[in-house]
Order: sequence, then structure tokens, then C-alpha cells
Amino acid sequence: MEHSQFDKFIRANAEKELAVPSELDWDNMTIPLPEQKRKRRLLPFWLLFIMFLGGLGIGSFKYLQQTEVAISSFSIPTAGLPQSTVAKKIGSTNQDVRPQDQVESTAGRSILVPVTVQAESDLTTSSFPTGETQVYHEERADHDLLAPTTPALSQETTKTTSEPATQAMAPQSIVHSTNIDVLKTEFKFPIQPLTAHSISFNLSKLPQARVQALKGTGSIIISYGLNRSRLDYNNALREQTEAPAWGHMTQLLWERDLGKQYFMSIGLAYQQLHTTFSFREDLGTYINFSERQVIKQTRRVFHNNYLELLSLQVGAGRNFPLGPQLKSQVILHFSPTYRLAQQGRTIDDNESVIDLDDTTLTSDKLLWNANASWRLAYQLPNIDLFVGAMFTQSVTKARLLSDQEKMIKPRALSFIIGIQRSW
Amino acid sequence: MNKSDQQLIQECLKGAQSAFKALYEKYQAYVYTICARHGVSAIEVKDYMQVIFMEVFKSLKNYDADKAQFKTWLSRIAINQILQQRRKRRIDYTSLEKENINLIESSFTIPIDWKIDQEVLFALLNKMPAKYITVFNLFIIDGYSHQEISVALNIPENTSRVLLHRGRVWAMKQLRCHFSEHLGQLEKHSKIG
Repeated sequence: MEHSQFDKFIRANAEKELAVPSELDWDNMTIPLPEQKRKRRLLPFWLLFIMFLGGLGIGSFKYLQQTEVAISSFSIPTAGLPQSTVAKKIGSTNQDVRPQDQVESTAGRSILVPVTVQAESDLTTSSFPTGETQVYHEERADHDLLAPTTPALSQETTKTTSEPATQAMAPQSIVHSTNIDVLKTEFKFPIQPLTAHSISFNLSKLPQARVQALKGTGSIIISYGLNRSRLDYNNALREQTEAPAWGHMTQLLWERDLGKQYFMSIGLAYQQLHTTFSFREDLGTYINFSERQVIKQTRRVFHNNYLELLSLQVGAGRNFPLGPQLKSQVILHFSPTYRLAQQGRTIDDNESVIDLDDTTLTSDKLLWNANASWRLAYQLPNIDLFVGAMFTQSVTKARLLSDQEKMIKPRALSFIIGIQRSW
Repeated sequence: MNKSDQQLIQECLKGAQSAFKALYEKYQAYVYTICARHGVSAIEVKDYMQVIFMEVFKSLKNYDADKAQFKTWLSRIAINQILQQRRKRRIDYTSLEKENINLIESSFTIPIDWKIDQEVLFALLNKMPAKYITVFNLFIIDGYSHQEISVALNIPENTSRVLLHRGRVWAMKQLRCHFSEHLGQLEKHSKIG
């Protein structure tokens, strides 16, 4: 057939490859390469942050739990306690004497001899337990000190008040005087060694943990955080044009305890949600007849978008004590939210880039959000410090543009730090 | 399938920039020829090439060597991208179902062993009306069936047949003129000689 011959002729002469002009070389091209998906070997940092907080809380709880258990298993027999705590035993004396390494006995020369320590006056460091401090008196060697006159010397230089317990605890001095140059004295502390079963601690006398807030108390909470958000469009292309970016939020809450670890929470939250807009817009093709050119125009548009929201947060929460100074809190809020401002760029139904301003934005500025927050608080004497996270989700879709059915349903995850002051 | 293609694709999937460059340089002439055949002007061809290869690189992970050769798969992507751009131009493939189709029997026959410079051929074909050249290329050179053309261009199958026929008639007329001039010059030289 003629057609088949013609087709073969066309194919035979059209199959060869043409020479490529140099402007199409790789270096002159701007071909965006596909983004390689990073292998998620590491957990997302926000998950690591939450795990760290959780581990800190659990670790603190375990540590405090162990300490309480250890204390509760000790019992101290009062009779066995040495009456030698310096700061507390006013009027009594401590006759502890430490070993003296060397005593040189030379007539007429000053010598250093161990003396008994008077509890309240001789020690410069009265808070030390017995046996930790040595005090030396200098005196003239009128007689041979190597003779077992130490008790006599003690009598000259000290004032003692004998008490049954003290006498029972009096050190036993053993003087080895074989060498006139070196005198070694050993003293034994007949203190009963402390064991786990010899100490008792009455838990009921401990002050109540501050975590158990008294019913009716209120507190003010101020927090600040960073957030990542998505506007969640109802259109796939618009969803692809905006990517999350870091924004921030501030929160001021008033909380009132309701008893049984529950509390109500009300306050204001200001959020600034940021996204980045990126779109390659086709501007169409036109013909330049004078120069016989067909020109295709495109442009790449980038913009930083932001959305400001002010929310009234009303809700309730519960405390979960983790220890005497640590607590975890979970709070749920319902938040009518007002859209304060919005700026940026988006694409309309015709896939054209438009600015977000008063002329394009809808006048409907009310959003309905729900928040779920978690806080880990550490209690200091006057205030509590906390870290945590807050997830915000818009409950209903909101219309963005005045003349198009472009709906958004924002959601954001915030990482917060703050302080709480109670009264 | 060519082993080097397999290696290049694997390296591209791992993100090696050199592999993307090598793949581009290997097939840039092939894709450029497709664009030239389909009437893409010299001004537009760079944009078309960028869009085509961007789509190729993005779709590499979906390529299945068992289903088609890489060159065939590549040509399909290139043609799809060209057709997408054409759709934006809103070329009117007028429905011709109700028109009376006069099948013109041409008495002009081109011996198959006659050659014509490829660039000259493309220059002739690019003068063809836009609605003919797409169907002409898809059917005769790219091997699409009328059914596939009707799906790709969203036109009735009969319209595809009619457009192809008219494209052929147009091309034959152009080639007849070209070869008539060529034959006339040959006769002239032979007489002089």
C-alpha cells in the first residue's frame, strides 16, 4: 500500500537522532533532582525530646521511691547513739582523742600532746562529728611525759563532766611507750557501727508532699514554645505548595484546683503558624510575530506565609504526682480561635499565584480548635518550672478565600517551657 | 536491557548526581529528536527537555524493566509531557466525524531508498498544522494505535484517523515539492554534465 510505503519512508528518515545544541548540555540545564528520602535511622527529634522528658520523670520517680524505701527500713536505738554530736550536746564534753603519731619528749622543750576535746568550746569546727578534729595544746615539759601520765595531763587541761553515756563511750587509750622518740597512741571509738536495721525513720512525721495541692488554690501559668504546623488544605496541589516551618506561641493560663488532682484551666494563647510557599507557575505561551518567536513563560514563586491566631482556652486537667517535687499534668482545652492576621501567597482554582490580603481573604475569622497538652513540672520553693508539648487541632474546616471553596483545617505541635506560680 | 542502563538507574535511585548526569547525556539526543519531531520550537525545547527529564528522574523508582525497555518507557514519558504542554495551549482537535472524508489517492510515490536529510524532513513536517503533526508523529513514528491516540488527546478514534490521513496528504504534498525540485536540479545537472 502506498500509505505503508510512505510511513516506512518517514520512519526510516526520522529515526536518526539529531545533534543536540550546546545550550542543552547538562551544565546549562536546571533539572530539579528528586529528594532522596533520608533513611530514618534516628527518631524524630521531637520524639527524642518527649522520651527524654519521660525518662527523666521515670528516673526521678524511681530514685525518690528508692530513697523512701531505704529510709523506712532503718531504725536507730536511741540508747546506742553516741552522745558526741558536737553542735547538739551543749554542756557535755567529748572525750574523743585521736591517735597521735609522734610525741617527742625533751625536757624544757615544748611538746604537742593530744588532749581531750571539749565539745562546745575547743573545736573550731563544731559541726563535725566526733573524731574528725584534733586540737593540740602546747605545754612545757616539766616532767617525763612518757610516763603514763596522760590521764593526769588530761585532768590538768580539761574540764570534764562525766555522764553515764559519755563514760561508756570514753575512749580507751593504749599507750605504747617503748620508744622515747616515737610515741604511738591508739584510741578506739567504741561507736556502734550503723547498719540498715539500726536506723528507723518515722515517715508520718515528714512534711506532706507539695504535689498534693490543697483544694481551692489557684495558679498562674506563663509558657512559651516553638511549633510546627500544617494548614491541611482540602486540595492536593495546594497541600503540596506549602511546607511546615517553625513558628512560636505564648500562653497565659489561670488554673484552679478542684480536688482529687483535678483542676480547671482557662486562659489565652497566641500562636504564629509559619509555612513556606513554593510553586512553579505557568504564565502561558505567546507569539512574538515580529521576531517570529513562540515564547513560553514560567516563574518560580517562593514566599514565607504566616497565620496569627488568638485563642481562648477553656478546659480541665489532672495532676499525676511522680514524686515529692515532680508531677506530670495532662490538660484538655477547647479553644474558640480568632484569626488575627494572615499573610503570604497561595494558588487559586486557576493555579495562579495570588496574595493573601484583605481583598482575597474571607471575612470569616473564627476557628474552633481543640488542644491537648502535657507538662512535666518540677517544684521549686516559690514556683514550678515545666516543659511539655501541646497539640492543637482545628475541629472544623475554615474558609480561607472569599470567592473560592478553599478550606483549611490547621493543626500544630508546640514544644513549650514555662513557669507556674501558685498561691 | 542494557546493563549500563540498569547500573545508572540503580545509582540514580541512590541519589548519585553523576548517575543522573550520565543518564541525561546518554538520552538527551533521543529526547531532543522526539521534541523536534513534535514541532517543539528551538526556543521552547530547553523547557520541554527540563520538564521531561525531571519527570523521568522522579519516576525512576516506578520503572519496571520487565514491562518495557528503558528507551520505550522514556519516549512515553517524553510524549506525555509534550502532550500535556500542548493541552495547555488548548489546541482544537475539531471533531471531524460528521465531515465527508474524501480519501485522496495520491499518485506520488516515494521510493523507500530515497533519502532526505533529517533536519530538512523535520523542518518540512514542523510546518504541518499543529493538530495534524501530533497524530502524525504518534501513529507513524511513535507507534501509537488510534485507540491510544484517542485516549491521549481525548478525541474520538475516528477523528484520529481523519487527522492522520490529512497529515499524510499534507506531508506528501510537501515532499513531492521537495523532491520535484531535487529531481529537477538533478536533471539540470545531468544535462549540463
